[in-house]
Amino acid sequence: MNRLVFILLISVSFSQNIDIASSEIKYFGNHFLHSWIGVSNKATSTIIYDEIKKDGSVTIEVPLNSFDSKISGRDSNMLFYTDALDYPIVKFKSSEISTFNDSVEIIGDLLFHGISKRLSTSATINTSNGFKVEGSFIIKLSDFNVSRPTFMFMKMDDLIRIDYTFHAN
Amino acid sequence: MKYITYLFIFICFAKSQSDLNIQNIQEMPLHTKILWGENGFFRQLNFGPKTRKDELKLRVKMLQNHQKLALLSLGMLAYQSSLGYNIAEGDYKKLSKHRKFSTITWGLYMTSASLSYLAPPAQKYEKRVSSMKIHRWLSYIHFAGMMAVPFLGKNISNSNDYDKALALHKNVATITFTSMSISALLTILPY
Repeated sequence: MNRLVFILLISVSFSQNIDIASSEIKYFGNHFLHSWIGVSNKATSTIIYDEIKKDGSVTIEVPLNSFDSKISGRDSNMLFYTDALDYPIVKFKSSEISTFNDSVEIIGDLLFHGISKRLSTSATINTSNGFKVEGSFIIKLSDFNVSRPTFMFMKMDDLIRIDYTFHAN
Repeated sequence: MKYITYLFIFICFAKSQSDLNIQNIQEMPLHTKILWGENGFFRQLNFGPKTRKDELKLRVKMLQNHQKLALLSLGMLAYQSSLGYNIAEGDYKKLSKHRKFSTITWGLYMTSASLSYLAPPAQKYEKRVSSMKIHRWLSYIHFAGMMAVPFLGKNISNSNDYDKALALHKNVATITFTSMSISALLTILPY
């Protein structure tokens, strides 16, 4: 019994619930006439990371109306096409994390536009100056049943790259 | 009449517009505020979609059609400019064509402008200057130009000073066409 408590204490002491000081999530939109980036710094997240086991879990939520692409009309269109009035939040929850030196492979579910899809993303973890997680993944709007806006008779690209960075002190 | 206008504008602004849940609502263009603000003209008349979601749907449709018609009217305006220059150089055979196409061009332009000016509000507005904001500012110039050009064109044959009337029509038409072309080009800028 004493041995079990000791093991639990050790594991709890190395498992950190990391408070995120700042975050940045970017989406990269493309159309044959121009490309743009929408940025949000309003993501809320819970990151639990065990430095000894190199294991953890991640939950991230970001409100769609927090994305800024420098043109409010375009942001407004994005909110329309993503049905942000009905589905205002995009949520990611990890289910499996594998660590390889300074990088991690995160597998989880992305809930967007009311549809949940499993995806995997590679992230680098830098603990030299605080805690920093950085990575990216690509989604297809059609996978989430999001219709694409048309400009000059052409739809925007279906593929959207998402970059994310989280900092903790 | 003046006081009725003031009263109408005051009523449109009297109540807060928070129920619409629009980001930076204070930056909404004046014409949209008057028509679609919480106490805007269309809301007083109970005109338009019943839900905000349907309003956004209507807005997107109107702006998509605005784009198409604006491109068409820009093309027509370019053609009208070329006809106008030919007439100014003495090719009077093109005058009837210039007159006939002026009605079509004007009608197309005004339909396109109406689709933009009368569209329900966006979900978000901003204070900073962007290409789309300049696009809107330029629209005030070419809209005023399009209102004036037909009258200035008619004025050429009625005027005592033909050269002056022609120059005025030509200059206003050139400013209108230039501002509209820049306005169109701005829409393809990313920011």
